[in-house]
Amino acid sequence: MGRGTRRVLALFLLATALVLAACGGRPAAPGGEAAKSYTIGVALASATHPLYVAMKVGLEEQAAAMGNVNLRFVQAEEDPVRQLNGIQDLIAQGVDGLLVSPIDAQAAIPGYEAAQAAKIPIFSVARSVDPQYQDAHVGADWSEYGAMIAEHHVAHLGGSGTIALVKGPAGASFVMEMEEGFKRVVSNYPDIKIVAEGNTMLTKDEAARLASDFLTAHPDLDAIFANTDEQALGIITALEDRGLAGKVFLSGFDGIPPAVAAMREGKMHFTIALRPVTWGKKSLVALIEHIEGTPAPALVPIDVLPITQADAASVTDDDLR
Amino acid sequence: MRKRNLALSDRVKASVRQNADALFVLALVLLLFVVLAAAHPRFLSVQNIIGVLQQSMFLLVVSVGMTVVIVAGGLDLSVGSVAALASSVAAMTLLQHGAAAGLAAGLAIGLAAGAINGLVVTRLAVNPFIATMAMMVGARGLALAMTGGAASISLPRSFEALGSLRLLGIPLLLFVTLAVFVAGFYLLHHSGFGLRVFAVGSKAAAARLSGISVSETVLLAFVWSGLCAGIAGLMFTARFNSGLPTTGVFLELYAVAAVVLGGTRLSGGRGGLLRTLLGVLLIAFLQNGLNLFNVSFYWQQVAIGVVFLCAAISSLAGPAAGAGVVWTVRRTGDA
Repeated sequence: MGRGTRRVLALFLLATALVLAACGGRPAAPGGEAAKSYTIGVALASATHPLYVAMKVGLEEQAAAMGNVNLRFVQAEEDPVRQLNGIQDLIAQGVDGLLVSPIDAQAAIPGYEAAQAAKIPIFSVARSVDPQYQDAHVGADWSEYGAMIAEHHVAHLGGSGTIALVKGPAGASFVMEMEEGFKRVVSNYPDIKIVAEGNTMLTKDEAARLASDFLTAHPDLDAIFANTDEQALGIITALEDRGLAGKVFLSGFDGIPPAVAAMREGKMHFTIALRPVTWGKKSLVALIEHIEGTPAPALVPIDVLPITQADAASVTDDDLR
Repeated sequence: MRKRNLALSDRVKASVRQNADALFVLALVLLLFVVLAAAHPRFLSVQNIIGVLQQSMFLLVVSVGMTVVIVAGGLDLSVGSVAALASSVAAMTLLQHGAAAGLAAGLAIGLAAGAINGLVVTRLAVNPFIATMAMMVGARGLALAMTGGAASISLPRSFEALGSLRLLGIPLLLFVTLAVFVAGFYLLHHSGFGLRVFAVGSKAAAARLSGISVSETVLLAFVWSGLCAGIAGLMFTARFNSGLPTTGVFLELYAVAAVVLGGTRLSGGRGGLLRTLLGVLLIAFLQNGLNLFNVSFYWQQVAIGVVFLCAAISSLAGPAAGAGVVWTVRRTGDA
């Protein structure tokens, strides 16, 4: 193939990519027919993580329901520098408010300062920065959830037993905070011992690998804490290999439908549904109310749903949204 | 008679010299095995050994493909993403059209991705590193786009038998893994295609002069690697009863590491599948051992890094370098 042909081909590929990108991106509809119309800039941490995918759905549904809100999304895919550029672009476009999931609590601060300087209300969603830079945080104290999960482990074990922790990626703040809350509660019970713990990526196969090794080292394990439901579902496979599914107390976190289905089958015991669609909706409602003159509290709590095995039968997929 | 014996012992010596690095890795695997067996009472249980094999079968299957590509002088960074894409597409197809269609779709994704990699490398003369990195990013994106960013697609319980089936107490998927390995072994070490792969990887120009179609050989090597990645994806789907668009991150790097650990030369032309098997076993038992002793994630990373480095150094020393470290050895076509 000659050099010329190759160049033409490269140009063709580039053109195709541009056309695809143009089709994929939804240009913001020109709004502002009525007086009270708002353009809200949104900079979530990721466009592929299920939590943020669902949150985006909630934001879009709420904006459509309100009718006078246009959303502008910038994507960053866990890249703090890209996110900061995105926030600054949104400020330059003169948006009326900002919803940001700061990828890095330090790196995002120049963006927050620029918003303050431009007098644009800025809310953090899910992740947060130092409270002095933000008007509110729509989220949760992760350690409280870790503690709540620990209470259910303790109640099941009845005062003594062994627990293994299958944690999420090392260094992620929700992982560290949930671990802290979990251990804070367990430390009150001297006969309950955490005999093994490790970090894995949030995938079924990685969690199954770790759990399988833990079960070899501790065949009489009483309970397993998984940082997310996805991990818990992988752990069920490892438990099934040994005929232990349902016999070892297993908790997850997130509240995804397959996990609730596993609870109905008796293979999993506790989870907390984060209801990300509702979370997205609540964020937008709180921000618009704030803009219209009802100041938001520093922490706008989200509406989670703790689910036990007994609850699982009556929980619908709508409850998990 | 005496002469013949001499010749035989010379041949054994030569073989030992040529495979000194592989014997080193074999010794490492055996040492690790003995230490773990002595140190942990449950390491040698059937359950643990089967467990370790079940955890590492995905790595072994993609490494079988990777070995052929690397021996041919290439590199395939897309295997983890292609496995994830195949797993997702198989699960979605299976939901709509049944198990047979799902199986075919997963294999087709692997073959197609491999063919695209091979064509981009051979027809457009793009460096394999870049070509397969593009596929790595693209296939991952496609998997996530198709599944709407979900972490996984759960299949109905009725398909569960696919992954949990056992023969003589051994999971069916381990037999699939064995079959892939045997097929790869035949292809690389006992077929005309395998000979051409070694020739191309040793010296493409010389291979071309001797009438071998270099581009066809390289293309087929990538197709084989894609097929292996597709099979690994199907195995993910079978074992976890779901499509897993987010799985297999870093699988390609572990596969490259396993291949190189075994002593297959990254520059091509020399290596083999038994070596790769050793590399996979070393990684698998190392991770298992570290988990059994509850070594923290941070130190596990450090330990694995150190082992990779040691292996890289031992493979630098190369064959027949037992007498002393030779830093500049870069022989081709000596195995």
